[in-house]
This record gives sequence, C-alpha cells and structure tokens, in this order.
Amino acid sequence: MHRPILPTTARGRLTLTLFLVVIAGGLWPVVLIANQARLVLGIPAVAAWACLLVLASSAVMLIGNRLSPLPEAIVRAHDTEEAER
Amino acid sequence: MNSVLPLSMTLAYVAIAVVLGVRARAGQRMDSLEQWGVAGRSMGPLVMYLLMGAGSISAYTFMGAPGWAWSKGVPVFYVVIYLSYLALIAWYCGPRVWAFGARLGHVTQAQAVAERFESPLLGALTALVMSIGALAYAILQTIGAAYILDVMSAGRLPFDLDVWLVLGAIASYLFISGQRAIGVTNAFQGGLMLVVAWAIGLWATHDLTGQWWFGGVFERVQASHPDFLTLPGGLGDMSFAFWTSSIIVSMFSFQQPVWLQWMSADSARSIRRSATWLPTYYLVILPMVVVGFIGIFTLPNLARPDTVALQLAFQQMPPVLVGLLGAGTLAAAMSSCEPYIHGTALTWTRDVIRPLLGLSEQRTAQLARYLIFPIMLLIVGPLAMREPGNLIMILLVGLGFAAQMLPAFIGIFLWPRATRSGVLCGLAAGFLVTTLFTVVWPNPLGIHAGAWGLMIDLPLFVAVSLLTRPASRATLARFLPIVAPGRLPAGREAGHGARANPLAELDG
Repeated sequence: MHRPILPTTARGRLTLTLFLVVIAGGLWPVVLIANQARLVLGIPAVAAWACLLVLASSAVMLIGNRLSPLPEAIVRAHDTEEAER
Repeated sequence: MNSVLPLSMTLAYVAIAVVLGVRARAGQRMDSLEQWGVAGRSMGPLVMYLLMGAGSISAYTFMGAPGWAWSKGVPVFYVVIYLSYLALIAWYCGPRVWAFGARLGHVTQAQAVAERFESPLLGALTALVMSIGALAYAILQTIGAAYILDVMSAGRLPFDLDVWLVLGAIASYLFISGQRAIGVTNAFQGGLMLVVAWAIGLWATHDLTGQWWFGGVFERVQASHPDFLTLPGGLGDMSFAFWTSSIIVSMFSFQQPVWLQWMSADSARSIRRSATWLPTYYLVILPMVVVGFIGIFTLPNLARPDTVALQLAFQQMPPVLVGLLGAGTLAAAMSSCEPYIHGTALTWTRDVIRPLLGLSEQRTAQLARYLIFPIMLLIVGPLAMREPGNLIMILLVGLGFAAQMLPAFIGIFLWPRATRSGVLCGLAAGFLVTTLFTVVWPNPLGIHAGAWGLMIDLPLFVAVSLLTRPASRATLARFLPIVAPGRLPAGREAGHGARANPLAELDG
C-alpha cells in the first residue's frame, strides 16, 4: 500500500519517459544545444528551441492520451460520489 | 497622443468584462461552495483551455516580458518553457484533483492536504501560507491594472481611483457569479490577449522592417547585440543554473487557483483535452517579446524596461492599437488577479474559519462570497495604492514557499508512505532556507532560492516520513483508488469497509 506510485505497464512507462525527455530538453545541459547566436526560421535559436518544446509538450500529451487513457476510476469518479459522502 | 480612443477602448473592455461576469451566473444559486467555488464543476475543454491559459498569463506578458527582452534578451523564454511544463503537470494531476472533488467532495487544495495527512492544522497552514504569495500576486496585478488605466487616461484618472475601479469591477462579478465569472471572463480575456499580442507584435515588426515576420528584427539584434541571443543574456545574470532551477521551481508550484480550475472542469477528460493543447496558448508571449527586442533600437534609453511596449505603442502606433494594447494588458492583469482573490477567500473560509467556528456548508459559502470585500478593502486595495517596494520580495518568498509545499503533493499523488511530520519538517526547513536565500544571500551559486529550499526540504521529508507513522489505511483507501487505481485489493476501497476501522493495521 505504501509503495511509490509509478507506471505499472509498458505504455505507462513509455509515456513517463517521453515526458521526462521533453522536460530534460528545457534544462541544462540539453539546452546548451540551442544556446547559439544564430537564427532559426527568423527567430533566435533559444526562442526556436522554446517553441519546439511547446509543440513537443503538446505532442507527448497527445501520445499519452493514446498510450495511457484515463482509468475508469477517475473518469467515473462522480458515480461513486454519493457512496463516499 | 491626445486621442480619447485608447481610454475609451480600455474602459469598454472593463464594461464588457463586468457584463459577461455578472451574466455568467446564469440563474444558478451561489449559496454553495460547489457553485460559487468551483462553478458546479461545469466547464468544458475550450473554456478550460482559455481559463488555464489566461490565468497563467499576467500583466508580465505585456509589460515584464517585453521589458526582459529589452534588457536581457532570450532569457525571457524560460517563461514559455516552464508554462508548457505546467501543462504536463496539469495533464497528470488535473484529472486526479477533479476526481477528488467528484468522489470525495473536495473543493480546495488545503482540503485535500488536510484529509490526506489527517491534519486540519496542516490544511489551515497550507491555506494561510499559500495565500501570502497569492495576495502579493493579486496586489501586483492590481498595481499593473491601475497603471494601465493611469497611462491610458494620461493621468486624468488618479491612480487610487484606478485601483478601486479595477477592484470594484472584479468584486461585482466575483460576488455575483464566483468561479463561473472567472471562467467566462478569463475565456474572453484569453481570446482578447491572443488577438492583441499578435496584432501588436506583427504591426510593430512591419513598422520597423516592412516585413510580416520577425526575421528582420532578429537579424538587426544579431548584428548589434549578439549577446542578447544567448544565455546568460544581455545583463549576464541568467546563468544555466538559474535558468534550470527557475524552471524546476516554477513548474512545481501548485497554486491554489490552478487547483480550483481543475476542480471546475465538467469531466476529467476535459482537463486532459485542454491541458494537451494548453502549451500552444503560451506562444502568445512570442510577439510581445519581439516588441521588447524592437524597443532596443527605437527606445534605447528607457528608465523602466517594463514600459517598453506601452512607450512604443504611444510613440508609433495608431490610437486603435494603443487602445487594444491597453485593453489586452488590463485583461492580462485582471484575469490573473481575480482567481487569486477568489481562491484566497475560498480557502480562508473553508479551511481556516470553518474548522474554527464549526460552520455549515451553506454558511461557509455565504461567508466566502462576502470575504472578498474585506480582502480587497483592507489588504489588496490599500497595499496596491501604496505600491510597496518590498512587494516583489514578499511575492518571491511567497512563491518560494509555494514550491516548498511540493512534498505534500508528492504525498498525495506519488508516495502513500509520506507522513504529516515529514511534510511539516521539510516545509519548515525549506521555507527557512528559501527565505534566507531570497532576503539575506540571494540565490547562492546562481541557483534559485526555491531550489535550495527543495534540496533541504525533500531529503528531510523522505527521512522523517520513513521514521514516523503513515496515514491510516482508511485514509489511504480513499485516495489510492484515484491516484493509483488497482493498487488496493477488491473490497478495500473506501465505502466498502475500509472506513469501518479507521485505525486499521498499518503497512510498514
């Protein structure tokens, strides 16, 4: 009962990994890749990298919606509301 | 500029926001926490998208972000990144928080903390200390909003009157329609901000370069200020350590209004849908940042960097765009101010006053509605009029504290073994360190003070939790079916016997 709550399926673990990759992308040392005084599509490389991370964040959540759909216990939480109260 | 059009457009925005906010009630009775506090859990994915987006976009986007671009350059983009990561947090935690409300009847964040850690005291403490940063934030946004009215009226409306005009507008619809008003007005404000930011950014770019894309602006920056295109930026103060630690601390600050937004969704799936697309909303910052870069060439001698967008507008843009910028900036300030006042009134009443006085649900809801007035009249308004110099410091300490609440949320979402004592010890030590490293020795080694706090807070939290008694099986049985479905064996969930013996045998 007291174990840390971690993904228990391969799909859940893949979703978590994708999330961590995107988060790592915005932090040191990965952000060093973008830290150059050059322009990408007309905007600074750091700005382009930030925009890429914006899109990547949405992309991994879209993938997560397919790989790790919400459990019924959450989706139907209101069905048990009265029993709880 | 002598035109009255900008002020007229800005005041028209206020009038529209009031009408929308008041009408948002839609015939609902506002005498329950479910309705006034979380809009009867009725908001669909589109409203949630704009609510969460606009709630995160403050006056900073229209004033601070261009100012950062003008004075530092690309370090400003850390905001876009951490806001996108907040959406990842919303994607995971939001549906679970919504389920706490739907299944366990929770409304506030402190309510969940109190129940999970079996401590009304910890809940009340959460409510009070989270409100330090929340009120400082509301005051800052009120100052920003009043400043806009002051500028748009060319000083004809006194600053103090501007403060009360803004707070009066917010109070009218917040009292009448509660969270429903926040949802509707934020949706309106969110849409307005998107239009205004891109209109201003593209117009300013075209005015400077003759092009409709930003390339020409940045080619000039590249030629004259290449240090503005890389970290640590033009002032040399955004090191990689500060960039990284700022993103981490900011993305783990679970603010009370965000919790209420999740609670207000009509379903768990609505939160996921809106969170999935939420990062795209934050691209609204890009055109305003470009305005700041344009200011490097057109307004090189500004006294206050955060006025760059307004100065540029007044000097170079037609009155209609100035009015749009005024309305958009005011929308950004109000959309961030109102949820913090509402959330503070709600959590003070539900998690502090109600346990103390033993109030009924209905009395609590009534009191919460009326509490917005003393909060505005005695705290937000007077402090906004004084524009205290140390407000930013209070805000930083408050936000640093919010990050130190992370162990409580780890205990709720990820680690059932976490204990009340672990959270309290970590919190106290983390807050002390954050305060010291904000006030006395700011950000040692270029690392955000809140990150230093977490470095002490988290290990202490884990160690003390392992040494102290965990929450009862009955309490965990109420949370685990939501945060870890399938973890409990059949028949052990709340409502199936678990609550019959609240002091049941504890796991080690």
